[in-house]
Amino acid sequence: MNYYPYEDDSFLFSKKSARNVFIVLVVLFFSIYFGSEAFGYFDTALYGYLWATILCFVLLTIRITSWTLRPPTRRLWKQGIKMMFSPKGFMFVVKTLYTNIVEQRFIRKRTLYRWAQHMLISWGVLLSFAITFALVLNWLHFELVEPKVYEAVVFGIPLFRMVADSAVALAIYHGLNWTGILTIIGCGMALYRRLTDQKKIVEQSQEYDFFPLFLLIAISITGSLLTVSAIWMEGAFYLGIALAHQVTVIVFLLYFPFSKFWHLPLRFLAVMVPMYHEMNEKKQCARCGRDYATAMQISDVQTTLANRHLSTPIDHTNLHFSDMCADCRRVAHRLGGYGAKIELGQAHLIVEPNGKNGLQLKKGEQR
Amino acid sequence: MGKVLYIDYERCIGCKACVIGCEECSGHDHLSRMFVDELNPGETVATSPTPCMHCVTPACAESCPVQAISIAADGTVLSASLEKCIGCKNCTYACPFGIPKVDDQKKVMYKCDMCYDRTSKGRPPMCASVCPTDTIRFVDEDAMKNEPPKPVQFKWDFGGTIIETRTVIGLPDTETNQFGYREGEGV
Repeated sequence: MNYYPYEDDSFLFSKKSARNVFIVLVVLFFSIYFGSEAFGYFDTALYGYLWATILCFVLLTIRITSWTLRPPTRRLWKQGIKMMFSPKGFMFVVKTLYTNIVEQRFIRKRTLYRWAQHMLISWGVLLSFAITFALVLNWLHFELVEPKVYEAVVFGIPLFRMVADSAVALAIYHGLNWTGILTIIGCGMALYRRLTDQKKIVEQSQEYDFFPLFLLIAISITGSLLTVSAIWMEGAFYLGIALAHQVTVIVFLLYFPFSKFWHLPLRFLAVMVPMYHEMNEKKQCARCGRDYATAMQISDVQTTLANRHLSTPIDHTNLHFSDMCADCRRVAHRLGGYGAKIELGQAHLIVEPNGKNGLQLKKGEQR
Repeated sequence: MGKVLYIDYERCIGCKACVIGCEECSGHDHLSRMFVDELNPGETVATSPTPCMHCVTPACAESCPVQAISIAADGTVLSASLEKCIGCKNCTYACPFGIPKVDDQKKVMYKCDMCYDRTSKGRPPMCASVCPTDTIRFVDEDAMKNEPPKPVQFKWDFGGTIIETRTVIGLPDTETNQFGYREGEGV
């Protein structure tokens, strides 16, 4: 197998990772500083979670740095961000954020069952993230402003007040229980599908597909047991359950950047795709003349392949195989196998086999 | 080395049994990954099937911005992983053989995985099982590459870029025009 590194400078990844981790740590420190009002409202009960969260952010930053160094990834991010700043591009991104991330329409098109299970798991996890990070990083805290009234304070800014035993307060105290229930139901549905559809999902594995489900269920159950212990068991086993919950959450946070959960950051690149496909000039196939792609994407793909030492040009022409649509690429190979001349009608060229299973400009033809 | 697909396309009669067989494979979700192309429509009846070529260094995987395309231990290039694929179509343009397809609605790329559920247990892929003319066969890789019964393609030179594929293509006999089985060879 040919192996080529992504960049000539072998220290580029280390340098960029170090820089990005430094930026993330500085931002995190100041967010904790301002969130906790200069450490005045620092929640020491969540100290273990705090370090695991910081480490999770560091590992995630390193993984994202490595990912964005890949030529195709870098190219798509750059093009997407450039296009996003036009009014039309911005509208596209807002719309895609809704359909892809909020509604997850593409999963509904796969099957309704998977959509339901994924909505439950993803929203369970995302909302849990929001609550956990806000509390662990001390961005949010509650202050007792009157004998029976709490005030929610975000980054030192008072947001709203609630009576301590009101229905709203009850819903908020148990926020993580509700998201935990969503996650347990979703994971149960996913486990059922993975077990009953084993023959169809042949590529699934214990480590990659089953372990994350068990982990999420373990986190949700241990978390909910804390409430059970506090409300119905007079606090029995509370410390043990709290420790078990902390261990499962820390395992999750450290496992997050290198596991199935890694697809979460990837989905943000998907938001760029509809805009990338729609907002650019169409390109015609060099052989049949049909619109099959955008000129920008073909040029991006050719640049990427050149970076990876995988260019596939048609010899003695300016064309690459990617200048033809997929149908014409397949037919061209087969006609070449017959030793036939192949007319690229749109490009006004005639090509022939190059004797090494590729194609070249027909001898005597002008470029 | 294991077994690979061998396509002797001068034998193809264009029946498209492979296309339908592919659709029926249990892991394929009723989406066919096989192509049968008419080579000179209106002039000849020549057709050819094309499965994935299973490149040793696949351009589809190299061009994927989210590393969704993985290679199984036996060298089979798998379809994009469902949770990672963002439907950008880079793979469909990068593949010099024109193989990957993308479902725009489901936002997922799908391509021949050599019926991984079958081949990982030693059974032939659906297309090879149903082909009535032995155009598509599931053969020993070493034997087909080292002692081919006729000229074959599995190493491709595109302007100096060498791409080696696991799938082997048998070339039509344009010298003696002896189509079909050759005497004593059985291929």
